[in-house]
Amino acid sequence: MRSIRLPGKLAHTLSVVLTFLLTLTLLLTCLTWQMHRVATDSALHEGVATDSRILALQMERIQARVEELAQEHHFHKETAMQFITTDALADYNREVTAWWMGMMGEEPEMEAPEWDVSEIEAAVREDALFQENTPANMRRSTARDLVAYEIGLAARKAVLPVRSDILAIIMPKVLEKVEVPTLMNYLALAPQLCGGASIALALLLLLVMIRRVSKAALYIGAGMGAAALCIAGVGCVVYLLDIPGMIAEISTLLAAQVSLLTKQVALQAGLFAAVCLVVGLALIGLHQLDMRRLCRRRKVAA
Amino acid sequence: MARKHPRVKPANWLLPLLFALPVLAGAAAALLLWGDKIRELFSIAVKLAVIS
Repeated sequence: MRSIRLPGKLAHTLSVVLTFLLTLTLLLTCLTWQMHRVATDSALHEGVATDSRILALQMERIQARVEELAQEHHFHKETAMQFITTDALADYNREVTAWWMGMMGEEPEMEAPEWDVSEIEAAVREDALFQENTPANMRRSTARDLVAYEIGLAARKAVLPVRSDILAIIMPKVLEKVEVPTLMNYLALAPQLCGGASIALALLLLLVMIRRVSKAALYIGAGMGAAALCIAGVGCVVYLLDIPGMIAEISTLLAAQVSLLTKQVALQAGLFAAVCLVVGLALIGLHQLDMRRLCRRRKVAA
Repeated sequence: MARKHPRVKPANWLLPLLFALPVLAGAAAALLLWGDKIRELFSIAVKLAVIS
């Protein structure tokens, strides 16, 4: 009977190196995929910004400011609040999201969009309580500068709790030094390249272990399982750094958005890791089954 | 040369852990060595950019 030669020591050593590389490329595939999502997926950010919990928090903040202004300048808070609906707030959130995401594109707009307060201004001027308590010659300027402008500012701070003036100073300088759209194109390519490299490494493992394919399954499975564990490890590190907690010390509104975004990213990365783990363990299981079958065959032959 | 008798090694199930260990150890070391620094830098950036 002609004996089949098994993979030698060199093949196994090479396979260990390839498996470790496979682990790294799979981990990088997941990380760059999520980075690309965070940097370019406007649907993801719109979903976060228009989430009912976020809108409720923003609405609460704006309402508190309107109440303060209503007490200070004597008008019915409902006069202004009738224009600040959840739908209008969601639209403004979409507008702001499109604006800051456009910063990473070509010819970005530096000025953040503003909430249109002209209707609020007109309504406050017509408010009976306001007319009773404000001299006629002061109504226009008070309604415009001290009420409507302040409400617009409160809406902008609630929706975009970052210093947009600093962004407007820093971004042109960054854009001068770095080709952001080109970087974004590289970032879009990175998950595809890493994914392609993972497939190539898996095929190489198959080629190295061609004399016993089940060994290739063992190594590919181990690499996939290891990548899943590494993704979980990176997730733990991010969790321990507690980024939303750090932001919450300064802005609860932004922290709520970042927390929701982190959850969305973690969910997809977790799914990727789960698929890797299940497929990896299935491949290891296939190898174990094959070895068991081989053992039985040898015993029968003996 | 006689061929080795095939064996089913239960330890094969632990191979993913073995390959993940260097990366996990690296991540843990980075967190221990630079965790505070990363948090500090991030905190400064947040304080500069975020409106309270």
